[in-house]
Amino acid sequence: MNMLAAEKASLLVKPVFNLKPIKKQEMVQIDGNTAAAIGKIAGGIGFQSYYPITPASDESVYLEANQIVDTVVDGAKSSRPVVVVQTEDEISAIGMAIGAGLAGVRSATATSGPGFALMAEALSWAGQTESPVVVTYYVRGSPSTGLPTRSGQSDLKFAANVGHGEFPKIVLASGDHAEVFHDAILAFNLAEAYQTPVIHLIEKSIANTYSTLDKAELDYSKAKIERGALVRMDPGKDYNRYSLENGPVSPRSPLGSSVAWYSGDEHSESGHISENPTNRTAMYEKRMKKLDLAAKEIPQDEKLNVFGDSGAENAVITFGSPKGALKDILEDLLSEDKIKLQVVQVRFFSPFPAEELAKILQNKKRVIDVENNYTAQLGSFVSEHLHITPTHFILKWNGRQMNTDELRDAIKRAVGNDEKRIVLNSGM
Amino acid sequence: MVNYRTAEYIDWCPSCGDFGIVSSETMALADLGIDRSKAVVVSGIGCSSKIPHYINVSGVHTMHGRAIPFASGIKLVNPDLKVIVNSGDGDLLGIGVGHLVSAGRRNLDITILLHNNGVYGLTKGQASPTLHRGLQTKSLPTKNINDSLDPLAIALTAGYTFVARAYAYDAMFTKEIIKKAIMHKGTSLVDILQPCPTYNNINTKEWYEKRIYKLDEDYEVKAPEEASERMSKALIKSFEWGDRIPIGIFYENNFIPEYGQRIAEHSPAYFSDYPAKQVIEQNGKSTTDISRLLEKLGV
Repeated sequence: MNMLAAEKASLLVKPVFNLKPIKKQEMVQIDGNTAAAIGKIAGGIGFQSYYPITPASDESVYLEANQIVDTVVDGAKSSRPVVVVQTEDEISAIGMAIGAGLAGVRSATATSGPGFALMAEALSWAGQTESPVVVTYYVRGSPSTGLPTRSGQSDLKFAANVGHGEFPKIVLASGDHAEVFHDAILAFNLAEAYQTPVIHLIEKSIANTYSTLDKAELDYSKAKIERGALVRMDPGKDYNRYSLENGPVSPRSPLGSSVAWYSGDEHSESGHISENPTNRTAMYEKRMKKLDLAAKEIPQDEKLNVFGDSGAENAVITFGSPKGALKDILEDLLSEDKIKLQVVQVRFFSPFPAEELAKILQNKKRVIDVENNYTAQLGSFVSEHLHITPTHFILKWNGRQMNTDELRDAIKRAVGNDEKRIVLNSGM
Repeated sequence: MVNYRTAEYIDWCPSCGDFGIVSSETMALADLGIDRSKAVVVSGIGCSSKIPHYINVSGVHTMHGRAIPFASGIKLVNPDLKVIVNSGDGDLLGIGVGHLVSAGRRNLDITILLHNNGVYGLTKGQASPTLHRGLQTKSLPTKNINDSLDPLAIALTAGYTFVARAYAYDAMFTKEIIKKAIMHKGTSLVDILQPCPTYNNINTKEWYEKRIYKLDEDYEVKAPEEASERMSKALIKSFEWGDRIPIGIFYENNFIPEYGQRIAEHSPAYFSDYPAKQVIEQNGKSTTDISRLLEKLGV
């Protein structure tokens, strides 16, 4: 019955839209959890720990189901086992992932808001001990249990400010499924390059929806696997893990290859506890300078995704999932509504691309901030770092993704009627 | 001759039981001839958790209560390492008790040395989870209102496959127990009784030495079917606390598969090609091939 209906429908549709069959082998249908998992595999993951939570668990379960991954080493086909562990809680999950990282393995955990809250102390430890770890943070409707099977963007500031004290952390957010895949690889590179935690934000609305992608969009043959200052010292030879000699990033040798000490206490170059004030000043600065280095080294096209009309007097700033709806309405806004837009999708929140963003926004007549939260958190990043305040806000926090109709209408109201704060509420 | 002690200044109080433990542990490492770069001591927070800085193998001084997760992550990706947890009774039985219990379910091949003195020494003497109800050590404003946890009973029922108790001031005996714990294939717990001369004025050296006695050597499960009977006996023994306090090995069971062996059941290459050994990039390119995974997602 269903097949019959589908066939009839396809016969009716074909002449209208002139649809051509897609080439089967070149397309994949992928959801965000799977895109992140496969990205991690491509990026060389060796260890993933997790505690079950919606909407993050599917990523870890996928890894568990595919833990023996194919490899090509020295031209020979082989495989390698990834270790995936379901832990007793999220504190254990992050602790194990950091431990695995100390042993020189690319390690990660995946969680959502309530679990991430439990990881705060350990992320501070990882920052203090300069330990790489990746947390894939699936953002759902919060606070508290909130809307656990719905989406939102209200955890942005929490992610960017997580952990007590000042330490460098890298926070990025993906805007669609292809980005999720590539960012999962990038996250490992950044964690090892700057020896610090990386928090990769993926909204629930990306995690549990599907895109049909050309396989070429998941091509990682050009992606580099960069392990930073990871070295293997001579066994038995001691070295100063926190040497101040060569700039903020000091060589790191995995546990098991040479002797080293790690402590969440302030420490000397050798890693032992030190409360010496001069050492404290220097060690603190060493850590913080890594963020300046990251700001300098991460390419602009990774930090910002800019599209639309660069000469437009209207800019839209956004992050994450509204990217898709914005891309879809640009043409109609221009041709039917005569509104020119330049869209800036911000991908990095730490380091925040303030200078790059200022160049784009400084001469705009309107800066329209589009976000899935109440307090316009991206907007406040912009105000804080750029001293440019968005002029208009289009906000939605009902747990549903923005759709093209309501977004197009809202942009018309912002530009045409100068409505400053427009709250969207579509969705079932 | 390898020196297993560092030159770091030790800031424990004079005659702290931790001195006995660091001596026993370093002697055990020396006796076993463990390669310094192949051993990792992982600790939490507290007086006892400063111990990695004094032992001349790799050290990871983590967060309060979280030594077990960090140690587990290290061991899971590099099963060739000897991983030892040193943590206090507040660490392991208070804030981190969930990890202590859960570790029993995995039976990962790590050694857990519990520094048990009944008080939170670093924060000036509050009652720890092992202090018995009704006792009032000298920093307590009132008698301890809570019942105490029995680490041996918890370990036995949680699935630990090596359970022992030692006494910090008997360094040679403690050393021998630690050696056996390290060599045991699976999770081992050694509850090490130690006086805190600064804050525990009840369970003192004199108090312990009047009471402790050594168990005989009959602790090992010889066949799987006798495990429950052995465990029951060990459990009853663990409740003996009063005029007489037993130390020694309570229980050892080598019939439960260690966690690494469980991983190897579905990943046969695990022990020969564990994650820390894997080559994940060559000339900056990923060595991992995802094409089979993408094929499955093809439409």
